Order: sequence, then C-alpha cells, then structure tokens
Amino acid sequence: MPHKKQKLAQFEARVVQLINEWHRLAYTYVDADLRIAQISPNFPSELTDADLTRPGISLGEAFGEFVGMEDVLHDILRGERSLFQIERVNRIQADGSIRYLSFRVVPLDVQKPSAGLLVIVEDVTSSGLIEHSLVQNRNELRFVQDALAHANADLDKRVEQRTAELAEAKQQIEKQLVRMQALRLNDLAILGTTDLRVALKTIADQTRKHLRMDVVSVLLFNPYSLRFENAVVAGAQTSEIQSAWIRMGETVIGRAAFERQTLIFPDVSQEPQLELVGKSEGFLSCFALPLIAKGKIVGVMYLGHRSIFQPNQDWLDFLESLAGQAAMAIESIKAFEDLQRSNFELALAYSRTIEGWSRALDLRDMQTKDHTSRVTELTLKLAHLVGMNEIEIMHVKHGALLHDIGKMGIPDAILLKDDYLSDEEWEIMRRHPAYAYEMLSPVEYLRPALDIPYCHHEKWDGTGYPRGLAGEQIPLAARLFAVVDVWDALRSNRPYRKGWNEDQVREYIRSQSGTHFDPYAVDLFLRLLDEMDKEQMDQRAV
Amino acid sequence: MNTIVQKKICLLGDFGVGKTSLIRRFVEGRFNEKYLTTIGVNISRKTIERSYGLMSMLIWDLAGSTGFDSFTNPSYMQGTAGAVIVCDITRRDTLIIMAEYARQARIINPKIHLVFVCNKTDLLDRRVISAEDLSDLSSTFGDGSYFLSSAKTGERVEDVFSSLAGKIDAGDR
Repeated sequence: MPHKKQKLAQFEARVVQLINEWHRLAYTYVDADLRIAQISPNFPSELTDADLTRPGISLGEAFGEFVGMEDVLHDILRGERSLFQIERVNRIQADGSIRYLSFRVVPLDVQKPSAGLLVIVEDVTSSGLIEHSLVQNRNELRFVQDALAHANADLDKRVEQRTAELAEAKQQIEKQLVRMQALRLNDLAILGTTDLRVALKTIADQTRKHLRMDVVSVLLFNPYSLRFENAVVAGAQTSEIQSAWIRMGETVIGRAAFERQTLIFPDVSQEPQLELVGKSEGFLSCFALPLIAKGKIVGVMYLGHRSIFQPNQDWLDFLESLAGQAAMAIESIKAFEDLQRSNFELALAYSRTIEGWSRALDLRDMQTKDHTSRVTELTLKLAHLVGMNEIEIMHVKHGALLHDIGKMGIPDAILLKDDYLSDEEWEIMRRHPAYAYEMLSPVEYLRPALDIPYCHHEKWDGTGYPRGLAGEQIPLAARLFAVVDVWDALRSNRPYRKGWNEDQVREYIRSQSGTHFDPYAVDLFLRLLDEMDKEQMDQRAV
Repeated sequence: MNTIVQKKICLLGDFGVGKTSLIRRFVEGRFNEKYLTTIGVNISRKTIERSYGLMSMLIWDLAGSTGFDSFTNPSYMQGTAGAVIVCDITRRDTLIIMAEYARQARIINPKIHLVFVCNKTDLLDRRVISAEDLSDLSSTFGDGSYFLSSAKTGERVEDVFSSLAGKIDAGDR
C-alpha cells in the first residue's frame, strides 16, 4: 500500500508540474497577515520590482494590484468569499511589449480558510494579445464609423444649407423673372401703341401689381403751365389724384421733381410737415420718383399705400426700373407725336402748294378754267371705284391737280394760241408730260404722283406720247385720268371750236375704247356718268 | 522624514477618450499620437508632493467601456480613493458614457472623489460638448467643476491629478 500511495503522490506531482508548465502558472503562499510566506520555484522575478524573498514583505508591497484590496482578501480569509481575481494585468516589458497576467486568490485550505491564501499568477499574454488585437480593431473601426457619421452629418448639414440656398436662389430668380416679364409687358405696351396714356396705364398697373401698392399714378409735366397734371392713375378710390394739378416744388410730387430725387415716406405720420397728395385715399406711406428723360423732367411717378410700408433695396431698384420705363414711354411717344404732327403739317403744306400751283396753271390757261378741279373730282371718284387705298388716292389727287404742270414749260405763244397749232408747235406742246416729269421727279413727296402728269397722253393702242406706252404698261391712274380729261376737254369751248354736247362726247369716248382708252376705264367712266345723271334726276325730282 | 501616503485612483471613461494618454502625459511627460487600446488594467505609479509629505498614486488605467453592459468590474474599484472620469470633446456619446461611469462609481463607492475631464481640447474646432453640458453633469455627480484638458499639449493634465489629490486629502481630513 505505501508503495501504491507513493506512486500516486509521484503521479500527482507530475500532473501539477505539467499543468504549471503548460499553463505557465506560478504561485505564492500568503499568510493570514497578507504577508508572502513562500513563492513557487518558477515564479518569474520580472513580474515585480520588489524583493519577494525579503522576510515579511506584504502582498501589496509585492504587487501594486492588491493595494486597497485588503478588505476583499480578508473576506476570503473569513470564508465569506472563495475567489478574487484580477484579469489581464498589464506588465510593460523592457522592450516595450506587453505581458498580460491573471491573478487568482483562493484559500489555501478550503476547510480552514484563515490558514492563508494561495495567489496563483497565470501568464495569459497569448490570449491577451489576441484579445488586444480584436479590441484594437473594433475600436479603430468605431473611430472610423464616428468619423463617417461626423462626415455624413456635416454633409447633410451642407446639403441642407445648399438646398436652402438653392431654394432662396430659385425664389429670387422666379421673382426676377416675374419682374422681367412685367418690364417686358411694359416695353411691348410702349412699342405697341402711340397713345401715351395706354402705355402709362400699363406701366401703372404693372407697378401697382408687382410692388403691391394701393395706388400708382403718373403725372406729366406741362412745360407751359409749369405744373404736373395726372395722366393715368391705377387703384384710386377718390378723384383727388385724378384731378391733381401741382406746381413744381410743391407737395411731395412737386418736391421730387424739383429736387430730382426719389422721395420715400414709409410712415407719413412721422412727417408732420409733409404735403401729402392722397389724404382722401388714406395713404400711410407714399413714394414719389421724378421721371427724367434726356436730362429733362417729363413727369413724376407717385405711389401710395394705405398701410405703413418699409421698402427694401430690391423693391426700390425695381421701382426705379419701372419709373425709367415710364420716362422712356413719355419721351418716345411724345417724340412720335411730334413727328406725326410735323408730317401732317408737311403733308398739308404740300397739298396747299400743289393746289396753289394748280390754280396758277388754271389762271395761266384761261381756256381751261375750272378744268383741273373738275377732272380731279371725277378721277378721284373713279379711283375709289377701282378700290385704290387712301395713299394711292392722295397721289391720284396730286397727279390730277398737277396733270398739266408741264405746260409751265410751254411758251405762251403756243399755249395760249387761238388757232390750230402747227406741227412744230404741236411738237413743243407734246413735250409738256416730259417737262412734268423733269419738274416733279426730284421732289420725293411728289414722285408717286407722277403717273398722271407723265402718262395721261399715252394711248391704249400705243400711239400716244411721250413714250408710246400701250395697254397696262400705262399706269392705271393715267388710264382713268385720260378718259376724264378728254371728256372734259371735248365739252369745253375752245377758241377754234365749240364744245360738244354730252351725247356726242359720250359717243366719242365709247368709240375710242380699246384704241385711245382702256376699255375698262371707259366702261367705268360711262357708268359713273350714268349714275351721276341718275342722282341729279333724283335730286331734281325731290 | 516625509510622510508618504499611498492612494489608489482609477481612470474611467469610454474607449478612445485618452485615459492612457493622460496617464502617460502625467507620469512620463510624453504623448504618442498612435492610438493603442488598453485591455484589462495597467497600473502606473506617480508620487506627488503634498503639504504633509508625499502622495504615491497608484493609477489604475482601466479598459474603456464598449457600452454600459461592459462597465468596469466593481471589484477593481475596491479601495479606490478617487477617480478621473474622462470624455472626448469631439464625441458627444462619450459624455453620456461619462455620466454612466459617474453614476456607477457613486453606487460602488458613495464616498469616492470624482474629477471630470473633457479631453482633446487641441481639437476644439470639432467641439460638440458644451461647457453647459459639462457643468450640468459635474453638478449632478460632483461639485460642478470640470477640466478641459489635452494630453497632446499637456494642457491642465497636472491640474487634473492635483485636483483629485486635493479632494482626497480634504476627504481624509
């Protein structure tokens, strides 16, 4: 039996030895006073700076990890606790590497725990390094996640900020677009009308709409009375502004013009001295802008609001643009009106000159007294019948009045001769259409009227003069006039013959259709004469 | 002969807030940019002068949390005179973890002295934790004071530990 027990003891010792080697275990025995009593032979001395062999060295002195842990250790000694352990205690080695240790404290004798403590130290560096590597990677990953989250949050913030900026920009663009459309509408109104009030009304309406004003008016400066008179008003509820008649320098309107600057009153109650226009409208704020074109005051734009209104720069800029358009409208349309008036006066002057020349011709050629007015009247009737427009008819009239203007170049001896003309005299007489051309063609205004003076002696069959034109080569006005001219000439007395009666004349005219005259012109003229006869008969009957 | 008192103090806080760096700056006067996580515990010693003699600080650098469920083993807090609880000025969630550490430290040891530190002030442009946040937290679990520190620059690191030593001394008296 002893041999058997000895064998078992040897076996157990071998097992303990192997466990110690494989698990790198060392141990120390600590007495009830927590002083180191014994250490295992394999205890690694580098685990502590303390001299473990010094008699009476305490556990806390040997291992700092146990400082402050006395209560826990006494719990084990009293049997109130069976185990205390500290995991993964770091020991930095001289080469900078880390060694991980595990401390376990258990009673030396479970049956009698007060006998002392066994402190087992296990080197867990291998598993510790693996765990360290895993935790290191995990934490670094979390840093990256944090950084990404920060970056994302930052990006979200920037996107949000940018989105807000874009929305603001979009709003601004839309606002500008609406304003540009308003300006464009005003431009079209200015270009599309010659009526100044129509253009200004459009501008006033657009100004009122886009600047959200209650009343907008445009007053024109009358340079003769030196007063501002209302041209248009939009949104007014009373007649105060409509009937405004304001001197330069007086009231807010006259002041804006006199001082040549925009006057802004966001709260008129703060301006007791202000000569407000629109009191009856209940304005609490008002704005007056001088309208200046080419350096001259042409009017004032006046805006009123029935509540206090503080404009921003953007609003004021747009108002300036609209006022600029109003000034431009006044300038351009007034210039157009002046031009139109000048043209009208010129046309009137031409007309009177032509009529004067015509009368002068009639006076010179006494034989054909009132001939010109008669043939002109009838030719104009024919021109109406063939559907000529107003401008063409005006030229026909000028042409008819001046049809014999070329006779100014014919000597009196021939023109006023009481007898038949010789061949040579006829030769001279036939030059008068060419003379007419020479006289009138340099005058641009009269050039379109040349058809009759130059071509009324041409004949349908091409035997006329001065150029021998035939058929529709002859201008229509000249073809119509030729019939009327001959008709009137044959009816008139001449020194060398008596005037023909009406039937003879008509018969002659009819006979010359297709030779001397355009058949269409002849038909038209004879029908006209018939209708005139009928009208005369009707009048007589009445 | 100088009186030497030995005191155990702990550094607590979320992972990566700079606990190890604060200790290294305090104990060794050095700083390393490279992040090296701590597992388990790493104990350092630093002796500081006090009016009565010397205080030998046994500074427990405990692995940072990875959430509330992995809070420090309560046994490790046994015999701890004071704790420095650290958060990162650039990470708001570390403030929440800081509050949890303070709450649990108070449960384990109601008399423990606490110092609150908001670290990494060298990254002030990325600050997400306000003075008001820190003041509120410190008032809830301490005396309302806190430190803004940087282990990188050394800003207020000495003050952190001497403040804790002062609180421990005052408590002992």
